Amino acid sequence: MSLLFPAYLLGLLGLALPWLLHRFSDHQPEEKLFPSRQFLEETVPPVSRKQTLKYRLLMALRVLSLLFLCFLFAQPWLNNDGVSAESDFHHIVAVDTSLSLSCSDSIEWRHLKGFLQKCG
Amino acid sequence: MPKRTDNRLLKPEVLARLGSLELVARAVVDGVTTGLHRSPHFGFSQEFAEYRSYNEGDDLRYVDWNVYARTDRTYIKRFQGETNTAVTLLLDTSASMAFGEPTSKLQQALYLIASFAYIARKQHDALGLAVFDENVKEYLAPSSRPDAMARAMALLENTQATSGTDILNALSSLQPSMTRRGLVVIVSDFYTNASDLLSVLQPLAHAGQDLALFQIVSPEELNPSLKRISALKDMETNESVVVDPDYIANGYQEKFQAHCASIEKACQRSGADFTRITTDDPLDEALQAYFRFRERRGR
Repeated sequence: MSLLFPAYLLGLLGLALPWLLHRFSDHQPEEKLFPSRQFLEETVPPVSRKQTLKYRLLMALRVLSLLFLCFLFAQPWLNNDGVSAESDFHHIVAVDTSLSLSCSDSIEWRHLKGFLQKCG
Repeated sequence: MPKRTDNRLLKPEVLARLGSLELVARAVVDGVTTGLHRSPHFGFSQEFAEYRSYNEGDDLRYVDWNVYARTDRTYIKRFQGETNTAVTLLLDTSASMAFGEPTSKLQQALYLIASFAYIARKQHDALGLAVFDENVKEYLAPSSRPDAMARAMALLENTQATSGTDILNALSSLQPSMTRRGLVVIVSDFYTNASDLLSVLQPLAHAGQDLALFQIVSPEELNPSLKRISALKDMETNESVVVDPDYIANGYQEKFQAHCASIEKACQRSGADFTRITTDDPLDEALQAYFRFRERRGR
């Protein structure tokens, strides 16, 4: 698999964003002024399995959507022939099939066959 | 039953529009006197002063019927408070008093103090004022001079809620200067221990002071409206406590009510009047209730 625009993979750095959002915003309770804490008791916020699952699922969805977006922009493509898209040499063979070359036993045909065999 | 009048219900937001505290006080006191009896004597001191012959128009409740039975003449009992008494107003300006929307506890307390100051001036009583938080910040000794009211109002107009609170320290340091008998009005939210409060009220009561305590509370403080787990920040210490709405609905309210009941009990034990006023109460209505209570008690 190759990428047409691998520079877009830098966008993967943005995956830190959903993590930061989850880390710092969801768990900070809203702050309000109150006359006195004399009659208040500290509460440990209860974390249920359902809440944890919802939290993790939401974060995973956000991370995956960003990941998908980055790969979409990078435009990956697959080459089934096994030739790399970034191969240095490309061989193009143009064959003249005009009447003057129609004789299969001509010396030109033999040279051509020999050359193609060399190229594999 | 006194006649109810329209101008009686002076909501705090209405008073806020009046601007100056003196106007507020005048409006409130006018509202109170309209709702009370024909010639109200706020009678701030219960100390007996003298007998005077009954004149037409005098309130029959003050006629001494025992003397009438013996002498066949009607005499009116006069009390020291009706002639000349000292009214000392103590205002708590700790940071917790800034709580409350749209009217803060401090605002309501200022209206109340200003109303008492206005009544004192109307009755030509000596007026004193002390503003305290952890210590006594300002103190105007009781004075019958004509400018006493203006000085008190100027002090009140510039009052802000700032610091922590130590009502015990403040009252203890004021006690030596309160030598003259009279009415002492304390307006606060009373975030203090009831037994400690009793320990400072009792010496004042024993010294012959007539004590009236007004606890100012906000509806939001009585019944906080938390929808989810929140961090509540103490306005005096800046410490935050993470609190569950379930605890507020059950544990907190129970504790707060128990605290208020203990403060009220401490007042009863020291012979002081206790009145709780919320920041959305019409002030004239609250004051009328207080004066009726005093009338019933015979002061």
